[in-house]
Amino acid sequence: MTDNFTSRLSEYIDDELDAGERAAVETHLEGCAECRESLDGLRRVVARAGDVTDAPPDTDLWPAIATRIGAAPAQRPPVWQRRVSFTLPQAVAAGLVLVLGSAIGVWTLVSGTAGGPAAAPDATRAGVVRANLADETYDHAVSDLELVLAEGRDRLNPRTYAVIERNLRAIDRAIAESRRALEADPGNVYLNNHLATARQRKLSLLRHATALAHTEG
Amino acid sequence: MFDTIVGRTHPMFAATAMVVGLLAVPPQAAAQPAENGRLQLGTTDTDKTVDVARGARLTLDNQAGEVVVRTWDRDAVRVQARHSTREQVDVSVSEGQVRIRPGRNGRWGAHGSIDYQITVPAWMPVRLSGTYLFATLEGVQSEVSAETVQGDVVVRGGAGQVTARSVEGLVTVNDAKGRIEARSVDGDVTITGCSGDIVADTTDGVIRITGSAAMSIDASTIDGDIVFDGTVNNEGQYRMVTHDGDVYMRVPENTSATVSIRTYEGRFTSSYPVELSGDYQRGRRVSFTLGGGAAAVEIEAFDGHIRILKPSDALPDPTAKR
Repeated sequence: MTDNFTSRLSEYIDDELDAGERAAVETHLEGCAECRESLDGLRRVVARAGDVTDAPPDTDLWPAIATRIGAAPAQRPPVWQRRVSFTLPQAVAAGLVLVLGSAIGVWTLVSGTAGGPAAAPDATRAGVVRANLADETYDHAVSDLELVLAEGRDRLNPRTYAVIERNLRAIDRAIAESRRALEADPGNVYLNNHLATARQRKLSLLRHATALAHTEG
Repeated sequence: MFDTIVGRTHPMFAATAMVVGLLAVPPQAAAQPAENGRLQLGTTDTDKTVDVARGARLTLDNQAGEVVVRTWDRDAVRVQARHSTREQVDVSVSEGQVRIRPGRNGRWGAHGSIDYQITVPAWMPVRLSGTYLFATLEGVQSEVSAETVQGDVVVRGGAGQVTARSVEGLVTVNDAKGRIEARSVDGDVTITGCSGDIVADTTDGVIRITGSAAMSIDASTIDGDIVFDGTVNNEGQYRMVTHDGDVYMRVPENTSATVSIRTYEGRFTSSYPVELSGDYQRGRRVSFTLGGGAAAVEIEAFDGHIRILKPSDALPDPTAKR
């Protein structure tokens, strides 16, 4: 095994090599069984990462909630009317429709399955989710979920609400640190994935918390 | 927890109902001798046993209280509950399901706390849910699900799909096999002696996976350490990710794994002699092999220390560190 090439295998997988380096590694791989074996091992590790994150959150309480409230979502009024014009069941239904819609949109966004520009993965980097630092869709979805959560705050135990807020702040810190790092190193594969995962975690927690806020009493 | 949607009521009405309910308590039920011999006002006991056919499932919704589920060798479910005299316990059996839930007892308002001791056949799948629920399940050899918001969940046993979740509580799973899912938001997750596929997740908590022979592990936290102490299967795949915590992996000397590590601002040390495939930090993936490199291990710690330990090394106590 040639150390010079061994040390490039991770970069080769992540497509962090330029065309010349890539060609050199591929030429070497053709004649080096040991490096091919190492590459296979690395690929299995990377493939594992791709298998992990895209399952829908198991916190999805929506089906049960929908059943209980009749699953007949009321027509959603403008945001500025919501607080004054909704009865409780309507608020629950409208809020959860909003949650569901937002979550689905952003879920597809961060999981890289949407076709939008923010979610479009770099085709040359398998398994990498490109995070977009100026991601209005994500920000809007988070805002919507936070609004719905705030509206349901009175129905959550204050201690639970405080715990959720504290954990959202912890995730926000992780997102902020990842963003700062990514601004300095935009092409960094790890940072892109790490930021996307942190965002996904925030959405999952918001969605879970919002569902709780509309089921607790 | 879903019952409360329809049960929600105006606080004044609830208060009125509470007063009326208290006044309506029969005198003989208003004072019951507690186990310690002292009188305990307004409590009563429910004790029901129902026969069940193989294949039946148990579902329990309990807004608040402690639930302990144990097993016996009878094809029957025994429900013992201690609760306010204003509460009822409804045990129904239909369509292969035993359902336990608080009865309405002709009143509105949120249910009070009910403590249960339930005995089930070991083969019976069990599902518990509640908001202020503390759940302990021991010896069930089938699917298990326990979900709460405020409260700890302890599962000893379980096979197939084993789910234990809390928002602000400790989650512990011991000796389960199958697909094990242990999640908290603001609590530690501890998994011991389990086999199969393990998913462990928390936001602000420590994840400990010890004595397990899992084929796959996916452990993730934001603000906590991850401790793995066990064997690595040659065909296994293991992933441990934290943002602001350390990862400790203590494995036997005969471990065969390709280990990939990534950290941005953290450090890496290993008690085993390893040759890294490049400089680490700044998120660059580096890898090394232990033994023949058979299993796939991926470790990420954005701002933490990644340590590979030998069995002779002491494991740190993340709780003390926190």
